[in-house]
Amino acid sequence: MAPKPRLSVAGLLVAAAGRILPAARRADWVREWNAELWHAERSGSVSDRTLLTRALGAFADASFLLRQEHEIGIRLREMRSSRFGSVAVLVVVAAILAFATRGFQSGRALLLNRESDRIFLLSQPSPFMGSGARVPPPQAAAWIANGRTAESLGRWWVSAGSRCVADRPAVALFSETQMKPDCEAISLAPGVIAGFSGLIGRLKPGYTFADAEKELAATAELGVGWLRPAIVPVTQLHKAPLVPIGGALLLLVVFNVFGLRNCSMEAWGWGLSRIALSFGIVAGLWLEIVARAPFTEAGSIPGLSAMGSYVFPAIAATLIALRLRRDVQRRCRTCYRLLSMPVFVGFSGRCLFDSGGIEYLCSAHHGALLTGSVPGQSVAEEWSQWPGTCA
Amino acid sequence: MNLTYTSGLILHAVALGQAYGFDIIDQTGLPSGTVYPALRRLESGGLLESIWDHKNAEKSGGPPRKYYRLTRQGREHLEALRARYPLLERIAK
Repeated sequence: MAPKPRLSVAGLLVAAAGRILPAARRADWVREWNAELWHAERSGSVSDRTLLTRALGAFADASFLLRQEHEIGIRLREMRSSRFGSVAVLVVVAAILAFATRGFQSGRALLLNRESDRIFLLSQPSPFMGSGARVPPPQAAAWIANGRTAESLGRWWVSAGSRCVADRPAVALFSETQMKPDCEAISLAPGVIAGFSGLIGRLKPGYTFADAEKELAATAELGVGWLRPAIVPVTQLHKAPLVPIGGALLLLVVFNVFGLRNCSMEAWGWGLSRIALSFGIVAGLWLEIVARAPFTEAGSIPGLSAMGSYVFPAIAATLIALRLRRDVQRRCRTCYRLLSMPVFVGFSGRCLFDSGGIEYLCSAHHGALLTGSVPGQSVAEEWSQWPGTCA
Repeated sequence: MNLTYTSGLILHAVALGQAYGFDIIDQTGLPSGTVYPALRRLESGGLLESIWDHKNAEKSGGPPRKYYRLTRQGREHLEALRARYPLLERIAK
């Protein structure tokens, strides 16, 4: 006897889920679900709400069957088991890393250009006098064209090393400036402050260029260095933190992917998603610090700004890498699932000489990890791959 | 074929005579969205086989239900799973 079409909500849900399936499989599938619903309803053993919840599971069931049916799924499984599959995975990893890098660059550009009308160039003593340009020439040219340079804030002079090279930073940007003979006199003149090295500034929220000008003038009068309430000097904005970010990426790749000897797509997927997440955390925090923190300008302490820019992400990357390493140690080497069901193994009678260990299992039956029984115990961890699973 | 703890629970429930989908759900406490896909996977893996229960349907006057039973391979796997997960028998009885 064929089940009658059900008019209950649960029946409608099953009918809707059945539409996902190919027609060839739908009839039997709907028949099975409807029969279960009919008998459950008739017996009264489950409430309407429970019945509804169970009917929602029909969508998961139909999706699973669809994936099983799908030709692409079959092809993917075939590819996974071939050598070509490994090469394809490597290519995909490389592509993802490239896209992530590109994404980082785009995100960084967005952040740096945030409130770009509040960024101005204070000075750029290079590329002459032996040092490299702090700001890419096209960017500096654009700022000069828009009048966003220190020159618009007053008359300043700039130094390169210990020598005065110009009294106006904007002039010093691209011209073959000679050392000014009257530099000493200018530096001692009222209203002229001591020189500062190449800087880019960003006005703090709520301040204007006029405020910045007053601040610079007050600084000059006091002769004590910058007061900085209005300006956030941002050094080396143009330099990407390639070393720490690249180093962090490398560490994460090593810890997450290659260190696991993964073989499944799922494991690769998990590993890559964690790399991307960690990458985002490090890059995002670094960018926010640079954009907001008022301490990046070093002035009289050479090198501090560079340290601020590079040490933080390096420390953050190291901490994340260490955390991931610990986490990775408790994951399945095959499917990347967190290992579970810890069981104490060993002989109680030998506790004095052998503290035994704790065995963690992969819930997908891929293997077991034997560790020391005491947290932090320096016992070599041993991974046992179970037969029939890839390593 | 990878056998999960969930698969073990379902095989165990089927071995105990809980042959229908909803009965397995009642027995294991797992959601239907977990049980049914697992049943499909176990069936396609040759550990379970399914049959339409016309006999009981005639008695009850309702539509026939599909019931599942272990194959020989399924029984072997279940034994291995019971050895691996001793808690299986305590959880589902």
